[in-house]
Amino acid sequence: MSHCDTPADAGHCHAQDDDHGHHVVSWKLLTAIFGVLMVLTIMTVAAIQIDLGSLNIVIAMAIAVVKGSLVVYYFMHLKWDRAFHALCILLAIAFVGIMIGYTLIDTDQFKSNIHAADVAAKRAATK
Amino acid sequence: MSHGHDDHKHAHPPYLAHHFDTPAQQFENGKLGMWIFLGTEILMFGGLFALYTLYRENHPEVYLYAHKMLNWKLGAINTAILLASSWTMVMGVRAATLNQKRALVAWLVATFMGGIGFFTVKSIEYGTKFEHGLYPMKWNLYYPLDSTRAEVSIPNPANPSEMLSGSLNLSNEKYWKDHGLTCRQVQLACIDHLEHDPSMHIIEHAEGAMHGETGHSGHAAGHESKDGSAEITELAAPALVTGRPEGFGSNAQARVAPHPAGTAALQTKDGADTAPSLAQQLGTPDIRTKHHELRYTQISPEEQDRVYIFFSIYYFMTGLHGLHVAIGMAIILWLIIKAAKGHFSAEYNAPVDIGGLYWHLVDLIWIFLFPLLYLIH
Repeated sequence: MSHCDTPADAGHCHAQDDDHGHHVVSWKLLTAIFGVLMVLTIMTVAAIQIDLGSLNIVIAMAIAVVKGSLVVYYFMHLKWDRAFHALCILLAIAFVGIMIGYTLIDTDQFKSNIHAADVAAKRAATK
Repeated sequence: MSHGHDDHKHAHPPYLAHHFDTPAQQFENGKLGMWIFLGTEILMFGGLFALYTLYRENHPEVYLYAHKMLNWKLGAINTAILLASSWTMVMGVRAATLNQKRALVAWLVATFMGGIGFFTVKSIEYGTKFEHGLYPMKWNLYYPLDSTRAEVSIPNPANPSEMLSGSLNLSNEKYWKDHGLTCRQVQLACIDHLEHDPSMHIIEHAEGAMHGETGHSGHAAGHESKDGSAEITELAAPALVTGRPEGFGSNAQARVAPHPAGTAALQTKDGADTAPSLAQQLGTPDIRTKHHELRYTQISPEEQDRVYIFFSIYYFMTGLHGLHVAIGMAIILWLIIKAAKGHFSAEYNAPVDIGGLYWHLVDLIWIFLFPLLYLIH
């Protein structure tokens, strides 16, 4: 199994006992992924210093999604794992999306009521 | 062996539970269970993310204001710590599959230290908040949006700065309707209002003036201590000095001294001309493009009331995440003990692999929490 340690070994290589589903990933790849994650963290902090309006949150979330994907794909070995495990995670994320999405649709419809309440409360306070 | 499958030649090793045919089957079952569990974890955190999104959608100004009380540098350090510990964990998993038993223990210990580092930073953060009286589950008195401000800022046509805050007065429904503003625009205007809040400028300038940039400041400070009332806050001194140097007498001080925390609000009320002229003289730093840390104790009680829901969400999300870090650390500690005893090998390392998955999820959640809570623009 020590053949996985050789520098020439790029990407990943399989452990001898392939039945177990263990895949030995090159330490260079893992360290490179860690480096990329750190660079992306610095990018997130740097990007927020620039005023891009509503784009700021989009950029911050896009970077977070890339970082999260790298963690799941490489650190959690999903790249070499069964597709069904990816399905477990993607289904959960999809349902969180549905929950947040429909909540937002609902709150947007009643937003004017919230502001009317704000204004009314303020009037009551000023009188 | 007792299962009677002739086609597989595996011996029944001690780590193989009796209800599995092969170590591979056992490993795959454990992994599947873990991934399904991680899916439910994402659903659980999803509820909190929905809460966060809902409140942010309705009150972006609260987030913009309240997040300034969080130290993003500490958040960034914790992000780096968690990413590093995720890396040491995956290196540990690799060591386990390569049967490198000592390396496995070392990587696991490094990962555990990452958890300790995370909690050290987190305890500094929580500690500062508690010191300032910003406890979880405090009553929120955010509504109404602007009632306290209405009492202190009466639009004065002679003063353009004041007209600005007057024009952004949300109580004047007719005003924004006459100008064709929608609810959304008024909400954004409210953000500007908060950021043009004189009290915040006073805080900004107080910090600048403390370094003795203005001659007035040093002079006044000396004058002040002669009176024997050193209680005068750092906030109030430069504001008064720059705004009305001649009026910096005992009466001005008497106004300010009893309310160290509420200084800003009092200033706005009593010396309506002071704060804008201060901003004009010293040049207003644009806090929208910089991440100044605001201190909870430096804002007025009215402003303090505005931040509680944000901090309830903050405590809930980071608290649940912190609980996961703690559980992850317990799992890693158990793995360290097992690994030190030599329980894991190239053939049997499923607990390391599955424990690692849990630790990576903790990292994954934090990757989203950090920009959402600490970096709000």
